[in-house]
Amino acid sequence: MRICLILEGCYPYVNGGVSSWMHNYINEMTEHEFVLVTIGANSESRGKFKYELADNVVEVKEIFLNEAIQSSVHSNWKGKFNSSERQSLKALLACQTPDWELLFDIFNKRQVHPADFLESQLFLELLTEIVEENHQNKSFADVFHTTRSMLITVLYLMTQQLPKADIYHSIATGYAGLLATLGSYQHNAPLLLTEHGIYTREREEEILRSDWVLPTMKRDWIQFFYMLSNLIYSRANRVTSLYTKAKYIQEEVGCDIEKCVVISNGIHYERFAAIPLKEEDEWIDIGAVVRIAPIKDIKTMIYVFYELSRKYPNTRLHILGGVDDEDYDRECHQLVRQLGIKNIFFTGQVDVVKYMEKLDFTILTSISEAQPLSVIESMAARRPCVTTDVGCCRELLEGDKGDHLGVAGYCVPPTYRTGLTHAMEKMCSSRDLREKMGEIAQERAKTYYLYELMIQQYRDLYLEVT
Amino acid sequence: MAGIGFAINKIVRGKKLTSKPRAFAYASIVTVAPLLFGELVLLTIYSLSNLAKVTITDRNLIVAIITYGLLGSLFINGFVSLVISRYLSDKIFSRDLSNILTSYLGSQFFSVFLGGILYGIFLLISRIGFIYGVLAWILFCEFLLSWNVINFLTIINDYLGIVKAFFATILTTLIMSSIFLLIHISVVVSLLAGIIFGYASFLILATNLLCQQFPNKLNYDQMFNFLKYFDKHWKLAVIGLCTQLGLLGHIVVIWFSQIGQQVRGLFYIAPYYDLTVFLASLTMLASTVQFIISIEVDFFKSYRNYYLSFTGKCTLQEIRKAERDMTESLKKGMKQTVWVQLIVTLLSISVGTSILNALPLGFNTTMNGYFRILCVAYAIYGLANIVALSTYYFGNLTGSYWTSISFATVSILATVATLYTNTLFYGFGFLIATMLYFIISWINLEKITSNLMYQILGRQPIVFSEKKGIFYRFAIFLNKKMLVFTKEVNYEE
Repeated sequence: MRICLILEGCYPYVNGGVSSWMHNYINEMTEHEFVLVTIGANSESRGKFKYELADNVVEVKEIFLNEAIQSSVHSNWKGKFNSSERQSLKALLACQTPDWELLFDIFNKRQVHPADFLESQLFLELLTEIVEENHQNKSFADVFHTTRSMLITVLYLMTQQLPKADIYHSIATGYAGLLATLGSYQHNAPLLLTEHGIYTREREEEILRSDWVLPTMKRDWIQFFYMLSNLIYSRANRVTSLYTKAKYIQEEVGCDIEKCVVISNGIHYERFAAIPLKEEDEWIDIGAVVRIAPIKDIKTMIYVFYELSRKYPNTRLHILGGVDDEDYDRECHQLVRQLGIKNIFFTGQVDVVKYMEKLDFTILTSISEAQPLSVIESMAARRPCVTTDVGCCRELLEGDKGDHLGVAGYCVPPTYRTGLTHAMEKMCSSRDLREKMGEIAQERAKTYYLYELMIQQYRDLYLEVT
Repeated sequence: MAGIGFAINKIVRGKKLTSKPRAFAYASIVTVAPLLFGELVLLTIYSLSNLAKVTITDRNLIVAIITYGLLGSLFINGFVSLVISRYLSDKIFSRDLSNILTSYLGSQFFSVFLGGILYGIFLLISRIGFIYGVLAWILFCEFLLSWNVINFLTIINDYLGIVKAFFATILTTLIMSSIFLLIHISVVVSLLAGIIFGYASFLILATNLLCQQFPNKLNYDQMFNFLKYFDKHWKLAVIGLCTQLGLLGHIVVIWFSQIGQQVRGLFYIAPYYDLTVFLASLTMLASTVQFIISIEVDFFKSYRNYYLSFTGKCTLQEIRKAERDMTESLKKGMKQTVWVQLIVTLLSISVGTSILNALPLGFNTTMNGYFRILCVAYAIYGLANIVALSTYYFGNLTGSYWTSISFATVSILATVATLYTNTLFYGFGFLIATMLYFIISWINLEKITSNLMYQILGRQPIVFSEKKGIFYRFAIFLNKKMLVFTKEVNYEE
């Protein structure tokens, strides 16, 4: 089968959880051919892959969003649209529910240049109508420029021609979801969405925190990403998520629950199950398998460890992972120096399986996660975890409905330092407690999170939708 | 008139009792005085010949040389002046006045280089003779330099200095002409040389005014930066050229009519028509001055408010209110201008003809007829011109571009068509063209003002990019050459 995988901002340009998952996934599915459609931010990344592509990757089409504003050749569009097309364009501008087929027809089949529309009188007319109806108290210039910024990339993506394939498979909604839907429309092929995180919610959190979005326009940006999510939710044959809670969020955002399926992440259980527990010594070693990035909230981790080490001076924190954000990495090291902490080790990229032998338990302080593989791996290695309550961390540690195995660690609200410190203190207080929780963790990993199981479920999914 | 609003605003902001009259005086001096002076010289020559001081042949030769110089320089200036004005406006808007003097010298070099070559070629094939040719060429270059210096003088508000410069021009012309006549140099050469010295003194004094106002160091590597504007604003160059062709082209056509006369070689004149044209064109100056005051000062405030409403945090309703205020101000200014022009034209046609007949200009019945036709034509042109200029404020040049091309084409073709009619109908071709120019400009303005938000905001490109075409490369090339040249000079010193 020829599968067109649409990837946004991850594989093969950056390292990280989703990228390595994707790499392993493609390598595993040797019976299929893959066409990669990658969406990057900047065309300077063209061809600069962090992974060696598998033999079954037969084609790569790279699309960069910065090219949306560089494209200067305009079309011969004369500015005429019928009333239903106008309605659809208006719905697009208002981030409501446009008729995407009409939009694909305009910008893809008829190749109306995005700039021609965004610089047209019609665009201003439609926007004025929307402002009169909904945004009378907002700065008109802000609405105008924000709407243009939002739409330029979407319209640019709509002009793209996707490679022919038997299935269009996106791993996120957003721009990737839009392209996958377009491919499915162009080649009349089934459409599949297998979400890791909930893209809409991740963008929402990012926008709410950001300072690059005008405060008055944040709601509009969020609405924009909801609109994009609804596009693929409404058209996909199947939509998967990594955990049950995510499935219900998908429903909440607008997906028909009937097409939602949960396929959890899986790991190579044996590799981790075989790791022996650490020999008891005078130290308690805590591991954090994370990349150095703000979203992982390493600073909170450092503060929490600082508090912990005052009560338990014989603890050591090992941060295992490469640097994603150089500035943030510098700030973290500076914080460690400021607090005068001696027992924090930034190891960089290491062999986690080997390093796990030195650890008693693990910690994850992320602000946002989906289903972190590092937690499952730690569980399989009989190491309990302290995590923030993001993604499906609680489900991993405490089990879903019908799972009565017990508690495999502590789950604390994100950025809640006191709660995290207490949880770690408890974990440090007793080796027996850690071993008991570790047993439960391993059992849960073995029951629900096997790599082979996951791959088989995806194989079945391909067969089901074709 | 890049900076005239800038300078007038400074005067009006003083809020003294004399502010408004001073503003009128300033606008009049800067906009019309150089042309007026050229025309006054022509009128003086005509008067002198009628008072039997100059022979008809000499008169015609002097008139032809001056007329050719004026027309030729106005064509060339039409091509460059709007683009240079735009360059200066942007510099004023961004408060970057450090390279004004440098740009001034650069633009003078460019204008003389371009115009000097073209007019030089014409003179070489014109069979006018060596001495007259040299004088004609110098005069042409001085005219060209004078039109360009006016562009720059509009930035400064030392109107007294400008008045002094104009008086010095008249004085120098008279003194030098008298000296040459006293030492028995021929009348034609004496008068032409006198005028050349007069305009030279104007250029020196005007340049001195600019040097005083902008005592910055010259940056030779930026001397031709204004040329880069020709890539992006080439339509302005075409508009400027075509407007001049429309305005003056009919004069050239009439030279080859029944009333035209060959003076020497390729030099022709049509004394009845030329003189009448110069006199009639003076009647539109009132509306030009009125327009500059009312539009550039009163309208500019509301225009600025409207523009700022798009960069500020204004709601749609606030923007619409600013738009209403602005268009009302524009209409008010135009209404006043129309009244002024109407009164001036009516007075010119009624009282003016009687006065002209009484003056020693040799006015006859035919000239009276031309004068009436041309007064109406220039009145309409004056109004059309202010309508066209108003559209420039809103940045949509495409309409003005086609309008100016139509104006030039119709003016020339319709005048050619009148050559096949009775000589009494000469001038109707230009009248038809001005009517068309007015109608199209008005439609254009209506179209733009009915859709202002689109003109100012909606049609703005998503990404602004500097157009780097042939003029950009030419500017870089000349800047480099200037830098190398000035360094070599310094080295030798």
